[in-house]
Amino acid sequence: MTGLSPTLRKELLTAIPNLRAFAMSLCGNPTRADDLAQETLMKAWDKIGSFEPGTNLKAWLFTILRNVYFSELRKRKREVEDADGHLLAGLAVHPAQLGHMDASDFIIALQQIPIDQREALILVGAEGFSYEEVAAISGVAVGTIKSRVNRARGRLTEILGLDGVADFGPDRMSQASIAPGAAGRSE
Amino acid sequence: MTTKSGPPKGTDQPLVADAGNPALENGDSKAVMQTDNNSDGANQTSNAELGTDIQGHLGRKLKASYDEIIRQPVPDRFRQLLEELERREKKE
Repeated sequence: MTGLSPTLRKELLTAIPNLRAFAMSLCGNPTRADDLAQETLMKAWDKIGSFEPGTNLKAWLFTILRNVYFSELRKRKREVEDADGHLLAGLAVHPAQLGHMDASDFIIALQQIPIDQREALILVGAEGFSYEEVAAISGVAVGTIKSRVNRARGRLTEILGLDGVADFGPDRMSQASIAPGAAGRSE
Repeated sequence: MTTKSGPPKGTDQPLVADAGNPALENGDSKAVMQTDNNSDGANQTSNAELGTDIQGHLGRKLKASYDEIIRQPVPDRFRQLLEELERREKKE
C-alpha cells in the first residue's frame, strides 16, 4: 500500500470528529474515547487496501471502531462490573471535559442502557445511519437493530424521567448517577 | 462516493433527522441546544401526543449532545498521529 489518495485522506480526516463522538457515546470516558478513535485510525490506515472505493468510508471506520471496542470489552470482561461504576462516577465529577452540562448528562444516561442498545441508538439517532447500514456495521439483522433502538428509547425515557414528571434537569441526573437514593434528600 | 445515509422510510422512524435542523422549522429552536425542562408543556398533552413528544424531545437531546462532541476541537494527538503514519509510509 503506497500512499492514501488525497480524497481518501481528506475523508479520513473529516471523519475524526464523528469517530470521537461515537467512541465517547459508547464508552462514556473522554480519554478512552480518544484512544479508541486513535486505534481505529491506525487500523484503518493499515487496512485501507481492503476498503472498497465508492462505499461508505464513515460506515467502514465506524465498523472498525465498534469492533475494537467490543473486543476490548470482551477482554476486560472480568473487570467490567467494577469499571462501569467507576466510569460513571468519574464522569459525573468531571463534566467540564464534555463542555456543556447537558451533553455530559446525556452521555451519562446513555451509559446506563445496555451496550448493544446504546450502539444502535447512537448510530441511528445521532449519526443518522439507516437501519440497514447499522445492521451491516453491527453484523446483525435489520429487525434486531429496530428492536434495539426501540428498547433504547424506552429505557432512556425512563432513566431521564421523561415518562412521568416534567422535572428533568442536570442536577437530578448527576446526583442520581453518583449516589442513587440520595437524590431525594432535602437538607 | 459516500453512501447516502438518510433516515429510512416506514413506520419505525429514526429518532431524529440527520440533516438540517428540523426543530428550527417548527419554530422551537430553543429545543435544539438548550435545556428546555419544564417549559415545553409536554405534560399537558394527551397520552398519545406525549409519546410522540417524548420521542421528539429524546431525539433532539441525543442529537444535540452528540453534535456538541462533534464540534469540539480535535486534539492535537490526531494530527500528530496522521503525520507519523505518513512519515512511516514514506520510509517504506
